[in-house]
Amino acid sequence: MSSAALLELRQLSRRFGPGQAAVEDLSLDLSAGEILALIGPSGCGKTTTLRMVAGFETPDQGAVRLSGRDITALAPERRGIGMVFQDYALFPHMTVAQNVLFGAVDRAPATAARYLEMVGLVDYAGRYPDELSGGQQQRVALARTFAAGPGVILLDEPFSNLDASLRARTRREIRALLKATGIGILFVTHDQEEALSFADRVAVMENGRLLQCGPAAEVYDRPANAFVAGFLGRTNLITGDASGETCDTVLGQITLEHPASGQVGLSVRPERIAIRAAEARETPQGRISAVEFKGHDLTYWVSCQGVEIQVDQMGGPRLMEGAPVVLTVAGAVAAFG
Amino acid sequence: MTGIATSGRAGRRPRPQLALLLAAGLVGVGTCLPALYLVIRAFGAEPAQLAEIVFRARNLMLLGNTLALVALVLAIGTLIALPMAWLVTRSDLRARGLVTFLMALPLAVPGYVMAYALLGLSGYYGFAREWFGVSLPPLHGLWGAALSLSLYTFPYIFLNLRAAFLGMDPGLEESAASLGRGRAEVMRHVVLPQLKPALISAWLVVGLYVIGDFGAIALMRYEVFSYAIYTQYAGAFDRTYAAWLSLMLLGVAALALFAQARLTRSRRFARVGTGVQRRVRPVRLGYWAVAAWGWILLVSLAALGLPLAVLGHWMRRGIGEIDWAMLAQAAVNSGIAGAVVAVLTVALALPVVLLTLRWPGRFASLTDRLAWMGYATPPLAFGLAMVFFTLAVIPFAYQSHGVLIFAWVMTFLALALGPLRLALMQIGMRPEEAARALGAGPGAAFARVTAPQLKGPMVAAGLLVFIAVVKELPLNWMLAPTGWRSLSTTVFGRTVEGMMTEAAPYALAIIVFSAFFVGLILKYEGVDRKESGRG
Amino acid sequence: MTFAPGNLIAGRFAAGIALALGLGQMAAADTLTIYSGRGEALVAPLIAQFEAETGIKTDVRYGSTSEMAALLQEEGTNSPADLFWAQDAGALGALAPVFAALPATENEKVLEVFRDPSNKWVATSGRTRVLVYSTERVEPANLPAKITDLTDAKYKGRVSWAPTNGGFQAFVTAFRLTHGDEAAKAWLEGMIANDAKVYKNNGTQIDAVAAGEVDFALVNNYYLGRYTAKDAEFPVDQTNFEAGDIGNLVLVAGVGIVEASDNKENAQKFIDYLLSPAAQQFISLQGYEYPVTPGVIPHATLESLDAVQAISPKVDVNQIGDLEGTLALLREVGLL
Repeated sequence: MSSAALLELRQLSRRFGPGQAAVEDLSLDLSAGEILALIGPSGCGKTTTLRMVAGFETPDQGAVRLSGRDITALAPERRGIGMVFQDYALFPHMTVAQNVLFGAVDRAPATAARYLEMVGLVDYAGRYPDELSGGQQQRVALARTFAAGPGVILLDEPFSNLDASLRARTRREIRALLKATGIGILFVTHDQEEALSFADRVAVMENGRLLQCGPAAEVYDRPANAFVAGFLGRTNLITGDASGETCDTVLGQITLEHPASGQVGLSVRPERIAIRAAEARETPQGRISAVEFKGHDLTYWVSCQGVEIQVDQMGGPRLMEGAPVVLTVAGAVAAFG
Repeated sequence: MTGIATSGRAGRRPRPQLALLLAAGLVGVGTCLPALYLVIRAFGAEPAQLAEIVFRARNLMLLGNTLALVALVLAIGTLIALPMAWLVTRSDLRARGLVTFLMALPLAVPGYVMAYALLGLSGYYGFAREWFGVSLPPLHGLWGAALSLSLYTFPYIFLNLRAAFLGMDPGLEESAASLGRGRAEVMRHVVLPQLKPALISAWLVVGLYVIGDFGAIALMRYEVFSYAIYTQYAGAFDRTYAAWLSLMLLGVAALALFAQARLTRSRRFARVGTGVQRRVRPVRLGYWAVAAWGWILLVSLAALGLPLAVLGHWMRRGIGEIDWAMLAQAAVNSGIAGAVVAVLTVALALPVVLLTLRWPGRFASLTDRLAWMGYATPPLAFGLAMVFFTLAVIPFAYQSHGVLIFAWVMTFLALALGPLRLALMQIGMRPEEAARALGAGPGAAFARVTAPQLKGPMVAAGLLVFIAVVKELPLNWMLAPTGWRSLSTTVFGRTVEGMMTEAAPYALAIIVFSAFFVGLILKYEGVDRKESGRG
Repeated sequence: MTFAPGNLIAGRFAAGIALALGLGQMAAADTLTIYSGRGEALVAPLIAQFEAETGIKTDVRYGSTSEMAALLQEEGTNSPADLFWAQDAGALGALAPVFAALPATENEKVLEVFRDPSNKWVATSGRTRVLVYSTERVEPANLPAKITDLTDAKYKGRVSWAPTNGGFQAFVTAFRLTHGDEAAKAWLEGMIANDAKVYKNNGTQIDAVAAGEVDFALVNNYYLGRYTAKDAEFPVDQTNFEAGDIGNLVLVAGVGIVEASDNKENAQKFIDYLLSPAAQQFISLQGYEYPVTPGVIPHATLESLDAVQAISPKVDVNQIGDLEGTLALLREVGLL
């Protein structure tokens, strides 16, 4: 895969003053047409990483390569990497069209129209940024970046300034747009839902280090450790006693994806657990301690031998608080150390 | 963690461009010249005389008086400026634009006119006696000096505070209020701490001015360093003692700068957060509006009414023939000189501010401090230093416009630093980074993205300098080409012989001339994105 | 929208600097450069007349006498000035080292009482030290006979002076020369103990008398005329001390030719002009000062020159230029 990589980050480190490094020994690849999300809690070093790729920070160690060329020491404007900032950084004294043409190779008015067409804002060419809504501003920022013709686009928390109602739609539209261009996208977010829904691959960072990188579903289903599991979506972190293909847990015996032995950690997603009321002679695994009604689905909190387990249920009969229940885990689960 | 070797470019940001360093170097050299000259003069003394000069008890008295005067001027100025700044930015007061203009206008009044105005209030020919028949006790000494100085310097504090209020996120005040704090508490715990950097930098501008000013102080007969310095040159023709006093004065200024650096250290003055800043919901004044207008009226009368009244008063006692051609020539000369100095000063201040904001460190802060030292240097000492070095190094340029302009630029550079610094902080680095990510080089990114947004603040800073130049006198006297006249020399050429009535029309011309530019400052000041973009 | 405003601005700056430097050297060599410590309102008409009569072009640099003196000291042999017209003999004396010697007979053109024996400068107008007093609060019978009477308790807090003023300092120098340093010191300390009020200059002292801040003021003679000319009711008058009292000292404003001048011939012509009857008459009428040449009628408000010569103390005017001792004394008693 690395031979086809468009953008390569190799063992990047960056330290601000003494103490913990902001980024340490980080390596990543990005292919053409791929969307990679860099995700982690605030302060984990993801924005610093992005700024090193853009050229606004110089790494203490390591290299950044674009199409095989070392660009580590190159000035930002020579890298051919576009960046869309969290606050969009539209130039307030220029019209939308002037903004779009700022970095364009071809500065003909038609160019502006073409890129604004792409983001559906062709009628707004003559307006000033402060006359646009947040979503429109963001699309202008994108169009501006497209127009500069970069090989890679970096997005810093691209949707954080949008209303929740706007966010999902914008995300879908922009994803389609980005996919259509075939440009490599590296984007930073702290929102796991955004990462999973928007990215092809997800890279999870904590304390300046890369913990896991892989396709979104893969990282979701097979987290490398408890932090990754907990950070990406809701999950039940339980321990169990593994022997071979199976593992004994508070949820009973669970099938493992890969054989293991001894104490292992497991992340069992709430939607992977089936729930039903225990029948009269059955031994229940636990009792429902709380019910969260969310409209199209329900979340039960089940107390199993002192461990609280979340279970999502889409349909079926609704169970009451205090009801004894039986839980079953569907399919095999990946264990981590 | 010493094991982790960092590579050669470890943590280093790109070096500042050569142009910035050159500009900073020029500032350093220009502002150090007076100090160098003073040291040369100061050590021209015999050791015995020297000891007598340096350890005179009188110096302590001068120091005490200087500090008392600075403190009082700052206190009065703040007392006027703070409520006014709040009223025009946060209240529902009517005609806020007019009030803002009135509060900035005293900038146009030359210091000696203000002092004459206060003196003219009392006395035999004072209008208090002539109009109301009461002979007021004369305003002399500390209070007279402090009042006259604060009445024409408070607009610096007002403009700084107003800019700070406008740049402050009203969300902070609202969230503090929502946390259950009363208005007074919000003011004390949220607003005032936020205003502190702006307030302290305004205090620096005014305080250093007060330390170096001599015009108003001489008339008010209050003995401070600058007065003593002038007396040594004027009465005693004694350059040695004057040099020592000037060096002591520079020492006081350096202390003030040190204090300012300590007080504002690690304080950030930029709005955090994103999105469009909302307008504040104005505080309803209700009946308090009456008190507010009373205060506005009182301040306007004192700071504007008095000087205009005293000029009118002089003119009523008989206007000499006004030489209109000469007045026009003087105004044109003042205008051209002021404009050239303003443009050059802003051009030089910009690199200094960029350096301090983007490459902070010893070199940058030294340059910044030196610019302030240039501002605090007594003009007489500055002028003589320029005479000394010009004759020694570039005698062909002696008494040329170039040297005069250079001295003015070095003197007034500090005035331009504040507005530019605030504006650059509010604009931030982000737009330039965006431009560079779009392929613009560092210079082009600054020129195309930041500079256009800086246009307004640059014009405002330039106008501050412009007005200062139009009013300036001592450097003008000493360095201007012989025969070249400006408005201020024309005025003072008449007051020297006590011909106040002849001087009045010219003094009025200065005020009217400068007032026009004060109005322009308000138009351009602050980062008003929409306007600066489309203007 | 311009895309390179930076270059444009830089270009303008460069042009501005070039213009500024170029404008400096316009004064031609044959133009007479005058540094004037006297105000423009008095000087300008005289200059215009001089130019019209002689065809010599002049450039005048106006400023206060002290600034101009400091400037000349700093310039030394590099001074572009040809002439310095000063407000007081103190400045002229301090600048004697930068002045050229005048023609031997130059000082003989002026009345004896105004002459500079060193012949480095020549007087252009004369004034006397006088006592002004409030006509509302002072009975003529209570006027002091000698200046030393002012230390008497009955004048406590009622007298003003201006220790930084050149005229006053010249008077103190004359006091020292006539009565000795000890006596001068005793008088100064007596005045301070008697709560003498400090003012900046002559004009502010007269204002103070009119306003009732003080009743007496030690000033030069020619200020009061400017007030009474415009206001016959002005409640201030002036008087002399008894004949020969040091308080009646005669002072001068004068002019000297700068040694570094390359235009001494025209400078001499200007001095000749200032000593001409027309110029002397103008100075006296305009400035309420005494003419220094014989045969000119002083301003009507002034006493006759004969009277002045009769009551003035005998002091070597040139010694007044030696200020050092006076300044040391003023510092010693805490007035400077």
